[in-house]
Amino acid sequence: MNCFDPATLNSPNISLPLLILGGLFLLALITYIFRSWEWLTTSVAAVITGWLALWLWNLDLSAAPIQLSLLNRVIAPTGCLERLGFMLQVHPAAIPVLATSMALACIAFVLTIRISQGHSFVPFTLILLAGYALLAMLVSGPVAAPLITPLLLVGLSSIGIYILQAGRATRSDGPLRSLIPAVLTFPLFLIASWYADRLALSPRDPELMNIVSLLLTVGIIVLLAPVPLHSAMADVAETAPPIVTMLLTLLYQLALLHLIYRVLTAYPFIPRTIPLEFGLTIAGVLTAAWGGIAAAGAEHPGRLWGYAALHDWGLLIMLLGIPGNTNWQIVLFLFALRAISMLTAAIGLSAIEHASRTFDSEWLQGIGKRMPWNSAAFLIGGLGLAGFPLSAGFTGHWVGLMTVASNDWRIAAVVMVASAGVVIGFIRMARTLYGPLIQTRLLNENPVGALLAFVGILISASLALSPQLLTGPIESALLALSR
Amino acid sequence: MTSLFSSFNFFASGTGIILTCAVAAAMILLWDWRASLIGLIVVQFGAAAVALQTGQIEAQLMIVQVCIIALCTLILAISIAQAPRSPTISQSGNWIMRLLMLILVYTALRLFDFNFSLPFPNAIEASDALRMTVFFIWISICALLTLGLSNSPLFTGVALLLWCVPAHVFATLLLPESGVSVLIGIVELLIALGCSYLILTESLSIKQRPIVSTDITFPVEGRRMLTDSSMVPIGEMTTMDIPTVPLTAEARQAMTGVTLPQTAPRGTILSDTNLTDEPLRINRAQAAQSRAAQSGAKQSQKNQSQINQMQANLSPSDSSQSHPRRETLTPGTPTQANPTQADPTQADPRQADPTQNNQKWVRSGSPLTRTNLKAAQKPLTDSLPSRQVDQSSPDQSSPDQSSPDQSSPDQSSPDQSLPNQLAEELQEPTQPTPNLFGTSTHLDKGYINSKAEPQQKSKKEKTGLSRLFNRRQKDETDLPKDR
Repeated sequence: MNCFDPATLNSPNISLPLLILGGLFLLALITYIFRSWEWLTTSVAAVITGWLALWLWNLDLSAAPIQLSLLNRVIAPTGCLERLGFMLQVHPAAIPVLATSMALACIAFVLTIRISQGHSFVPFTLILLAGYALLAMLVSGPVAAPLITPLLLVGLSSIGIYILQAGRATRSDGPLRSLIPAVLTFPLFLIASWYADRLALSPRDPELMNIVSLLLTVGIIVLLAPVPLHSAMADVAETAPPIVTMLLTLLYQLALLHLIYRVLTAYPFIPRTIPLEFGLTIAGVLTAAWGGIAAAGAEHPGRLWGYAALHDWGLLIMLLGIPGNTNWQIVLFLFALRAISMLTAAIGLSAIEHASRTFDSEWLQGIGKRMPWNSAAFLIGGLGLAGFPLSAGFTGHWVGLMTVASNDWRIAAVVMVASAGVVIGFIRMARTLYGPLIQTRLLNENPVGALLAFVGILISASLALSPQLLTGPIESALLALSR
Repeated sequence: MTSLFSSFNFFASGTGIILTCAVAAAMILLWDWRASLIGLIVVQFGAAAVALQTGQIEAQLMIVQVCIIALCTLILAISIAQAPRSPTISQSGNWIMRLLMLILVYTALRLFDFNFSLPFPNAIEASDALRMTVFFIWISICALLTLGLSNSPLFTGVALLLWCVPAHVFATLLLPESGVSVLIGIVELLIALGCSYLILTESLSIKQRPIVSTDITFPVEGRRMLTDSSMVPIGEMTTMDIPTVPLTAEARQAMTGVTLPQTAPRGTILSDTNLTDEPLRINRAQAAQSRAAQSGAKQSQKNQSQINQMQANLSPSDSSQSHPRRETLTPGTPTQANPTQADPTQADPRQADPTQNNQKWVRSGSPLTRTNLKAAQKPLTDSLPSRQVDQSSPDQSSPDQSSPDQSSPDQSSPDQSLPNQLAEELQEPTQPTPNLFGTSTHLDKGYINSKAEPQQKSKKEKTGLSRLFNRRQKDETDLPKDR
């Protein structure tokens, strides 16, 4: 494969990975310089990432190279970039991941125009976006591409610390704990790569297959951060800005799903040699159950949201453990609904946080009377994570539970009970939000904020009533992944 | 540097490995940041010596790795040096518990024969492989123990770096030409930077923490922090990035009673120095006060004239009740903005006394700790008779002499009591709230806001020196006794 060499910048061809990564880094640099003008940087970043998302989603890799008359260069969509032992290329499987990441970032930037998430949010997010794009486009590296990914995830998690903490003088547990899974697992993947190299020489060695499967299974399960490694999710949701929490959680989990798909594709013997299904099912049940129990007892809205997301994540982990290619369709469907629910909740929660400042109960009490749309968005988004009827997550949970119940109905029952815990938590939160107003000094919600919340609710309701809207994008994403 | 390793060849011997393992255990046992950082370097040095003993690794790689770990420890140490609070906030258990944990783990390792062997290239001798296996397993266990026992960024960072030590050796041994060891070094630096950032923000997370019943870690720690009165509530401040309400010209006028020049339009936001240089001014103000106490009559007369000027400026109908900063900021000298109201002899106090240059504002809202209260109470209780004597002396001309109707603080009207209190506080040592970089910027404003309301209430209800004293006595009794 002829790759683009950055040393020959006079070449008329520019590879697409170079354009994406270079553009994002350049934009990050510019937005960092102008970070004080937050509305400007977020608007520019939203426009560029939104355009990239649309362009990448509609990109035809078999089409002719794109002429950039302004720069007098030609963009080769299938061109690759090779540097420092890494080879990057926009392959079909990377396109849905890239487009989804860009779209999530674009939505986050749009929401940040109204409510600040910290001056450094835009530049750091663009750097993170470049990092996740690099992971998606990685074809080969110093070791096999999926096996070097956890090490790169450590770096991305380290950068994510800054925007998760966002300069807030609050607890640092969440950002700190978000580092731990990736750091703990990258040595396992590196050792597995050494064994995998030896396995290439003797492909039928059962001992080597067992060791590789064991190392990768343990690594994947730890990276998924099930209970008891879950605490980062709830802590981040409690202390970090809600939009940042939503964005980084979804970006990390999307990269993780892509990694698992690639690992299971590259090493198909893993489910045969190691009871991966059993491990993922146990991890998923524990996570979903604990998420529900903890949500029932959580009083902090951010923590409640985090536990609801944990519960939903547990169901997704369970579905990953079920063999078969059709399950990936359900996994992607659930992930898409999860993204919509988290987004809707983040819209409402960020507005509530902006008004109540510290989520003090005194300020939260009755805030729904002044901010009805944003409070409703938070509640509907949170209930969507529990699969409550008429919320976005209902169909996903229903399909997931049916799939799980087809194997073991008791596990589905446990998940149902845990979902009830999440619903109880949100009902209690609804009583607080729409109860008697204490802080009469609270202002009514901003019309723009109310409009955004209404749009979020509308999208959630639309997907609750017509989940088939997602069928097309998910099928095309699955088709691209399988190429 | 290569000769350094050869001269410390002792670390690669059996005794040296035991010593390095003991150092790793001592890091947990002592649980001191100095011991942890020094121990981390020693462990890395020992690991490098052990790895070099195999003859499979180039010395330069290990030298670079030792330098990286040294750099990481330096980064963490600098953060600790800047942090105003102890880095061991989230310490879990005492040394006995940690000792028992170490004994438990050691006993478990001895009792259970795991028959676990780490992967090594064939070129490495069996004895070397065995030693390295034992060594690296122990180091990894120490890292996991530190992770489990700590919730602070410092010790979590040390634990993650400790975890990376064997990972780096393995990556260098197993994948010698892949460049992964370089990536691990970069990742270590990112981890250290992220944790150092969190160390700084953790020091600022002095807002009282609620106990999260669903969080499985460190509930005792949260309870201890709740009773620690040295933890100053930050108030409404939630981020360091976003400044609070800007100090407008009207606000300053409301606080000082000093009329601004007519050229300044209403609503003018004062320059940034007015917001950010407060700690410098406070320190200078403190230094000026101490020098004034030593210098004698001239400075005392100057202070008295300032007090008189202040009394003249503060009218009963000003907006002090509505502005929270009024209670915590005390005018020190008349500014150039109001030369007409100033004492003719003090027309330009900056030129008259360089030490008073920045004494526009003197912070009286120092953290309400027991120590501060005692320090503040002492001159009020002990020196009361001497002050009465001093009032008759020409060196210490009192407000009573300049204004006969204020002969006694108890007899003064409520409108005049505030200047008296301010005059007392002007002579008391003040203490700025520590924050991130040893300076005091926006967080101090948050603190001020949080403290303003109680002081306003007391000002309404009580007047005079004795009332002030009684109020402080009451505040002291409200402090928790279990510190």
